[in-house]
Amino acid sequence: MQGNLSKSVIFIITLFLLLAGAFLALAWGSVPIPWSRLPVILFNPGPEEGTLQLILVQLRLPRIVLSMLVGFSLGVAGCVFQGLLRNPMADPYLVGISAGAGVGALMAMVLGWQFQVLGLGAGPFLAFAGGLGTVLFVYRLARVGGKVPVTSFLLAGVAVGFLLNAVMSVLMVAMGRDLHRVLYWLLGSFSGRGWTQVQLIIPYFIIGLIILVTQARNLNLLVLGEEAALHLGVNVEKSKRLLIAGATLLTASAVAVSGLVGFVGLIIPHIMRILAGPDHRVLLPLSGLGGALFLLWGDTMARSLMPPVELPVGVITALAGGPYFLYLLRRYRETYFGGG
Amino acid sequence: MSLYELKEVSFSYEKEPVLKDLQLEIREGSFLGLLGPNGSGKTTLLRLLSGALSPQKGNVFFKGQEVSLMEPAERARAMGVVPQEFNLDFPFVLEEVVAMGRYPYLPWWGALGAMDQEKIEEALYITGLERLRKRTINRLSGGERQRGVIARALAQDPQVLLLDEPVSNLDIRYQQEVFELLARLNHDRDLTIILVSHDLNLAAQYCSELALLSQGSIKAMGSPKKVLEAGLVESTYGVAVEVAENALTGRPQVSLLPHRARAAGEIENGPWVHVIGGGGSAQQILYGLKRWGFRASLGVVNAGDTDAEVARRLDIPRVLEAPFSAISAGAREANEKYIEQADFLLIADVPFGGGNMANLELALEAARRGCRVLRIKGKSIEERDYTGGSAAWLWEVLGSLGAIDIELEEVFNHLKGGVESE
Repeated sequence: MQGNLSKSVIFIITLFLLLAGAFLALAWGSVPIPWSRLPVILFNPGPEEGTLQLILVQLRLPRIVLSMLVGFSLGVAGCVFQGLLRNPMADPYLVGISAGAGVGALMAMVLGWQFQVLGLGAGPFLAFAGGLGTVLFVYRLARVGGKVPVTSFLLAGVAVGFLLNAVMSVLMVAMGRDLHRVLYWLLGSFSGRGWTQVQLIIPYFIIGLIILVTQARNLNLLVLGEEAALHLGVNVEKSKRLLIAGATLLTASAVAVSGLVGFVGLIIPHIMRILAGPDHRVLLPLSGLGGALFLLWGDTMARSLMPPVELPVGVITALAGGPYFLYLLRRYRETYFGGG
Repeated sequence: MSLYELKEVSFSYEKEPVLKDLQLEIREGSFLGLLGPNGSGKTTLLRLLSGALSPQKGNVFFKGQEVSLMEPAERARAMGVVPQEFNLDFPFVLEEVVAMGRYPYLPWWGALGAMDQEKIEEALYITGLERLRKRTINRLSGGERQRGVIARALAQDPQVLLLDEPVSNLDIRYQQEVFELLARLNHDRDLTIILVSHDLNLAAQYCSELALLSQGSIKAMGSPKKVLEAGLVESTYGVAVEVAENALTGRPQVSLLPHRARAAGEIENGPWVHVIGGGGSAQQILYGLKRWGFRASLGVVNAGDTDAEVARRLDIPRVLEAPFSAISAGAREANEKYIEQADFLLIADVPFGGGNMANLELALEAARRGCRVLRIKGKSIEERDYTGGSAAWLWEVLGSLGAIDIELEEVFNHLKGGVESE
């Protein structure tokens, strides 16, 4: 059951907030720049404003774009996993992507590897490969006679995740003094990220999104259960493969550039479902927009609340998102949970 | 014309085969109930028909097409499937769920056309759910939700409905609601309906055809009367049953009998209770004695008497006299032998006349010998004395000899208590 607003209104509001937010976030930061000067500095800087332009174009803008891309990815991926696994507690990290990516990233840090693949540094590359590889492994593991029942997929994912988390703990112990780097990675952060990361994530973002958009309607039927979806005409196995592939691409690439930003993938789909209903044709893009909006603000606060210290963005998302989510749950308890 | 044709179909989940060389033909327009004990393969058969499973051996044909080779969407346009239970953690409203039935007709993005809207409206109308269309699915009652799933299946515009125990979680009112709906669809629209049921009587009442499965093959198929034959049901389910014809519907009705299977609270090797009854006065007593594990005998009653018939069905030994005749010396002697062996003598709320005075005389003799006599409280003896006072007089003597008057409801506890105290 949706709230009082119609779906298109929610769409427009979210989009507006996102664009306005992006503009405001440009002005915000450890070097304050008045809003009124923004257009001038961006497009026609005066002689003393060259540094400011550099800050805006090379530091703040890519970070804003990146946080929105990552937020969009995680919001959409979380929405997909919740539907596919028919589990409202699911998030993009549930089936082992986070642990796989974590092991990859930590290996690069511990072993001090330095290399470049496809323009990716060792850390992001191994994180990306670890995430993808884990899901592939879990998928193969869960396969029974040509089919992958979602329950086995979920269980195999959780089990493999536990295993890799243990490996991660061992690597963390091995890290010794550099542990704070690991901590920042685990909590997720956009600190020091720039256009390079944006370029890296964009192809996977586009491919993943296209795949998922074609499967949005199938996802509506898959939440009824696999056999029910089959009886309504869905090619279940094919659809599951595409959904897992799309969501994994989005998640793994997001994790590779920003670490494990939590909370977005779990909470945003719920918020959007409360506001706009469960139809994934609407819910997927809305979860994306919501995730983008959420992380944009999260990161802006992360870098401007306690300058010059940067908070991990995951801390902000949890602090800000939790109470709002609880408020929505209480307010829409009746309709959202149906009361058995 | 046949809608489904199964040829030598075998299926197994693990090693043990669930269905063995099954042959089956289902005609278009039939209302078929699949019956059978747990594990007999009826749900598996339904899933083979719907294409959720493919047989390891043999073929399942739907209108000449192999079901497992049809595209999912093609199957969805031909068959509507209704599961046993439908739960959804996502807050879809009823209308949206019914609209999902149009999926196999729509392009990838799934915009609904006028035709689709019409089908959805029709499905909501037939199932009587129009007013609940905006209700979240979780907020519907069990019966409404089940009708909603049937509405979704109807929106698929199928040629057959396949239902797996569609009413097993519903109370009788909703059971009737769902079955009436199915019967109407079958009758008015000639929609073929195939359902799995555990409820023999519901299936017998509504289905025009039944198939009884046992250990992976079809044991009997045909009209309810033919399939629900007592011997067939007993050997399939391993219980004692009685099959009677429902006086109103003419359909067979199956009741369980306290036979082979041990009942809860039953005593072992209970004492022998001889019953004096007649005219139906001892029916419940006989059933109760059997149910609680007492040994019982009945006599003397006339052949064809209701109590005699009940005793025969319950396999209770009885002493018979020819219909409408007074108790003869031979019958009296036979009855006496039973009474001599009995631990209790139980006299039902039965009238006494010239024909059966001998029974009362035997009771008196038994009481003199020290046999424990129980009398069911009912009408006063004067009201049921048709002998001009001699029955009442014997009754009084019986009382003075220590016969106990007892309510029908109390009698089994009394008998059991007697056993336990000894």
